[in-house]
Amino acid sequence: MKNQNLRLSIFLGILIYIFAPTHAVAKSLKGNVIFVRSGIVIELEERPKGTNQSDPLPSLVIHEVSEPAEEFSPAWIDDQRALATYDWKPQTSYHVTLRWTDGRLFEIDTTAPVKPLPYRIRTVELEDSLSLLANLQRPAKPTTIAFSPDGEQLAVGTNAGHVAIINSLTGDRIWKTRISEGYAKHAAFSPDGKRFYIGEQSPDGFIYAYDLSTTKPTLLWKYRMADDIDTSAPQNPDDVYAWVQYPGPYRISTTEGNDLLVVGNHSWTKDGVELKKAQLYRFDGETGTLKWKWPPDQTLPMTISWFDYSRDVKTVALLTYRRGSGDTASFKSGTLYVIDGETGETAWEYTFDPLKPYFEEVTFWRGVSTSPDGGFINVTADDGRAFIFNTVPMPEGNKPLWETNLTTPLEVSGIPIIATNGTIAATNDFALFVTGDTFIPYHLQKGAQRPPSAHPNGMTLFAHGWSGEKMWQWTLENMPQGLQVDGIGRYAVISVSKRGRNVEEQLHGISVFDLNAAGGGLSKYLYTYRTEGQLPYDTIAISADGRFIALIETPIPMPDETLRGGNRVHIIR
Amino acid sequence: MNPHICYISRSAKRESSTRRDLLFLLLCFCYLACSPKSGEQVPISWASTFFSLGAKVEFDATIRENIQKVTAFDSEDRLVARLDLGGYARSTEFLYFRWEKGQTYRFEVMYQSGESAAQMVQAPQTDPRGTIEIAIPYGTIEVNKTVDTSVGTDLNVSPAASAQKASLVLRGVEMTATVLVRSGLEAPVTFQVVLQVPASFQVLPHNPVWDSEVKEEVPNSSGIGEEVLSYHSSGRFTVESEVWYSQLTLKIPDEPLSKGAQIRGHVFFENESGDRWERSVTTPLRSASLDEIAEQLRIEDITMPTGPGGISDPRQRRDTISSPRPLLGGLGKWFGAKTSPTDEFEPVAYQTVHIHNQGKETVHAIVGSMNRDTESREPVPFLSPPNAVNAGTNRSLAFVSLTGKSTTSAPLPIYLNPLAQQHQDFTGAGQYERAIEVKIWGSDATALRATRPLLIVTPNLHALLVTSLVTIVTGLGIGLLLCFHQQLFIRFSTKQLILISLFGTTIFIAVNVPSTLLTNLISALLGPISSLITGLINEMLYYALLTSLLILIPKFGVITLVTAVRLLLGGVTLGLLTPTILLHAVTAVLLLEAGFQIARKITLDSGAIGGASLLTLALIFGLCDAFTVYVDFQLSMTLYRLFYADWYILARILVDGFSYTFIGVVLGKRLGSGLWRVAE
Repeated sequence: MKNQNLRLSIFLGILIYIFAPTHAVAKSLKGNVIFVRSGIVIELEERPKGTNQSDPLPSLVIHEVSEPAEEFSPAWIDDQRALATYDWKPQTSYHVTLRWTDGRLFEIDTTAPVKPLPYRIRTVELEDSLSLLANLQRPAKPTTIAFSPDGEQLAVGTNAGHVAIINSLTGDRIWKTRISEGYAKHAAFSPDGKRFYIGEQSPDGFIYAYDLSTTKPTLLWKYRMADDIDTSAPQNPDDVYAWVQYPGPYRISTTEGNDLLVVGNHSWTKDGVELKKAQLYRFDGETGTLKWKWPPDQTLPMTISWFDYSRDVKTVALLTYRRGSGDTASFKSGTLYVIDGETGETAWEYTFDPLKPYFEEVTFWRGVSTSPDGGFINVTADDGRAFIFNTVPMPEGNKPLWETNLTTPLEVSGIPIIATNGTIAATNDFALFVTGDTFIPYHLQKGAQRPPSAHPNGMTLFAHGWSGEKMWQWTLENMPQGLQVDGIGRYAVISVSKRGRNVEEQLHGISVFDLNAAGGGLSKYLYTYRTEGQLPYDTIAISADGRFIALIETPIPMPDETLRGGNRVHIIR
Repeated sequence: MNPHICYISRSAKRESSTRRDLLFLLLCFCYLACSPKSGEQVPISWASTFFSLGAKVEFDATIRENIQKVTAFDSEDRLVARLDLGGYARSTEFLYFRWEKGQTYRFEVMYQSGESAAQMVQAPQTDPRGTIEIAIPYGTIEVNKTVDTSVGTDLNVSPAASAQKASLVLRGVEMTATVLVRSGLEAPVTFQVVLQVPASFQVLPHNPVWDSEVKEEVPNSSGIGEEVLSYHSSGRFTVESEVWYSQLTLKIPDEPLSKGAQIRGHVFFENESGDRWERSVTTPLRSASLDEIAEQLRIEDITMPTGPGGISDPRQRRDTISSPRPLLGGLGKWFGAKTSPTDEFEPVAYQTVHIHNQGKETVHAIVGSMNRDTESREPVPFLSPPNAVNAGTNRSLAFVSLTGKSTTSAPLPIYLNPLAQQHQDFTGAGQYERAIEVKIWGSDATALRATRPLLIVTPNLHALLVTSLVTIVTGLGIGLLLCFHQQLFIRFSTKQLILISLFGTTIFIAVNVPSTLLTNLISALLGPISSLITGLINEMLYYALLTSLLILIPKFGVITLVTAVRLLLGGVTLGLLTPTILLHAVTAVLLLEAGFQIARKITLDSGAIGGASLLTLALIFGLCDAFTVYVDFQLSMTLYRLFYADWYILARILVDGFSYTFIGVVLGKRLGSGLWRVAE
């Protein structure tokens, strides 16, 4: 009995010790405020005691000096970091208060910087999440990344077919699957966030649609592109690049009406003859019903290098080419096709003349983009030219509204110096052209030494108005590896990375631009977020509202045979 | 030393008002007062300077890995830019922000240890309002810095610019000059460019971007009037950081240029408010003849194949590419063998050109290599870089800066795309030529030329065929021996078998053991001529002993048995029983047995050795061994994928195979005769 009383006393004593101080004394917390894009982050120096899931979230009050206060409910990144969306003004003084219901308080007076600072919400290591080391002889690599419309979920796929969906804020893995042994080529979420689409480059070239509304994502429908654009067996299936010869969805994109636009390309060699087949599809995203495909009655015997469409999907623009006498009776290589997105019928087409004497044919990379309002199309060709077209053909015939020699050859010692220019985008205000690395010619990228100086217009982001007038430009810090613009046309993100001869001097990261900022390139440039490792091509994503940016980093082998960086995804603000 | 440094540029001191200086010093003082405690010494090996789009911070190599972040604050201590580096700073990092002229900025570097250091730096007194640059040739622009003559500021003038290096132009040669005008942060502006080149130059052909030339006289650097050709052009910048560029082809006169010869560029800007300002650049020129440059340069070596880094593998056959084809050609294809896939964009090999510059100054050059037909001298399509993307060139190129008094290596890729010929069975095998040229960058003048052979070989089907036949014959030979070994043994008396064993052991001790022990050593010392020494043991001594045995026991099967003894002893004691040795031994036995019988048959009169005359036997054994050596080479080519020079194969066949054997047989006759007399 005596022992029981003693135990009870000790137990009560411990309870009092744990709870009494926190409830009895209100504590002032220390921390810092970071002004990020369209918001602020509060970093507390210590974890507020007593914080647990059931505690009511503190309210955030922020006000400009001499302005009325505004109250927010911040989202907690973790125990010590809170994120709130707020449109702050540069170089303005603010009073920020974070107040808990129990009296705990964080309070600070601070001044906003000239521009927002990059802020890493978190990095998620991918080796475990995506089983990158399942095959030690050939570790898998992340290949595609996509944000859900609200930016809260992030999908990452690998070349071994693994796909994971991650919570952007917490980094927790929500779902993981393996679609096949194929290469996860491209992924997208439906605008309502209810479905997730992923396409594989494999002998079948499947497009999978998963239903996310259930507790565990379930397969809703799938489509085998190999039925249209054929399948093939690579001569050496064990080759690292064997996947290139399989059919695959090179772009999957969802429309506001929850439809799905997919371009399938298949390029392979049979008995020494190079063969190509391509098709553009529009599916009903919910049922997988094919609404139309282009060309309607056959496959295209060439490559569809890229496509883009207006927000209402009434205008779909695509570029086609095939190297070496690629013309057929029905289709011409080096052509821009504009398709009626409702019916899938060709509205008009324009075949580009080659830029002689340097080029005998016209080829493209991802050189087509359509303004969201459907008014204009911008195009770049591999020869360095840039074009703008009106989507409504002119009465005198189809021809570019504007044309410029962006990175066309600059000849020295009989050697043409050219820069790549295949990364472009469009907003209602700007036609964005990103030029890249200088080459003299292409094959020098593979081992021979580089030119002594870059093309004057190389590695630059150009923004033109739709009449062709130059609006602003910005010189990039390394080779562009991808360009993304958010759904509202405010933020543009360019990943810059390339491993050069001097690894220590290479910059890897993303540069972010505020397209709404007044002024030239320096005003629109916000920051460059740096990474240790390199950024693979086309592995950045920005959420539709522009709040979150995700980028994939992969390690770089250093000269001393160590690795710098890792296989990870950075989620930043 | 205190980490916090106050730095005011010389021009700033000149230009600033007294009041501003005082304010600045007060700021410095205030900041120094807030410096870390005396124990917190941090490195100061970094410096900040301004450029048109912000500031650049240069780090010493010793501290680069410790830099966590760099932050810039304006004079009111407001954060204007931050760079989070996470410990991986480059030698120069850039902070982008719009600075105010004459204002003092604080740059703070935070180390990974948590310590920090700061510098106060005053921005230039003028706005970044455009530049002009002239590059002869394009790509050497770093040495030609812009001087703002309108306000005399130090903006864009680095210390190196004051000691500008002269651009090298070649006498009597056409060279490309590139003029670049940049807008800075002021836009929109209109500009007029004036380019002044020495009157002795010709501009070819006339570029319509420039107005017609005007001859005028301007004072040179010494103040003496100099006749120049002036070209005018104009344009408009609509946005900041815009670049306008134009090229001119200049024909340099054959005569040496006068001292102080230069090209001048002026750009006159005007903004919408009517403000005007000017930027100028002067590019000093020095001329040299192509021969002078060519004498200065020398191609030391051209190695092929090498890796992309220029490192060669001596085990690979020099100047040769191996082109695969389906196994057994058409027959293999009929059985379903496929051609290996080829990636036309992936080089199959590299060649590396090592160029030595004996002069003191750096020469910018372009090294090109064209793979061409040895007779027509036309480029070979399937050996050219990928056609679709090579922008009209059929050469592999490397751009090199040949530093004075040193050798520079230029690796060049070689492509092989047999599919370009549209013939599926085409492998491209044959002899071609690599035409290597070293041109002076910016001109079309070739300073050095060299040609090297390029051999494309396909897997040696001949060797494969010989190996297949030898394998079949070896199988049959061993089979026959196993089936008829009893019949073979009953042909000999016990005494003869003991004698054969004795000779087999003697050959093993006298030939195999020293050969095994010494071959590697002799090969290391003598290289390709080592066979002259090893052949004395392997061939001459062996055939001397074998011939003497045949004199004692001139019967069919002696060679077989003595070889068997030798093989068994070698296998048991030295581990010398490999498939190659077996194939070689069986071939040799069959040839020698057959040769011995033939020699006996064709000798009309009764010969000295089992009925065969000495010369006939020596001749036939010589031929048999020559063939055995040949077979041995084919086996090595097939089984070990080895390559041999033709002369080496021929020399081994003639010397080792035939001559030494012939001599060995002759010597064996004398030895055998002596032994025979003892036995009698």
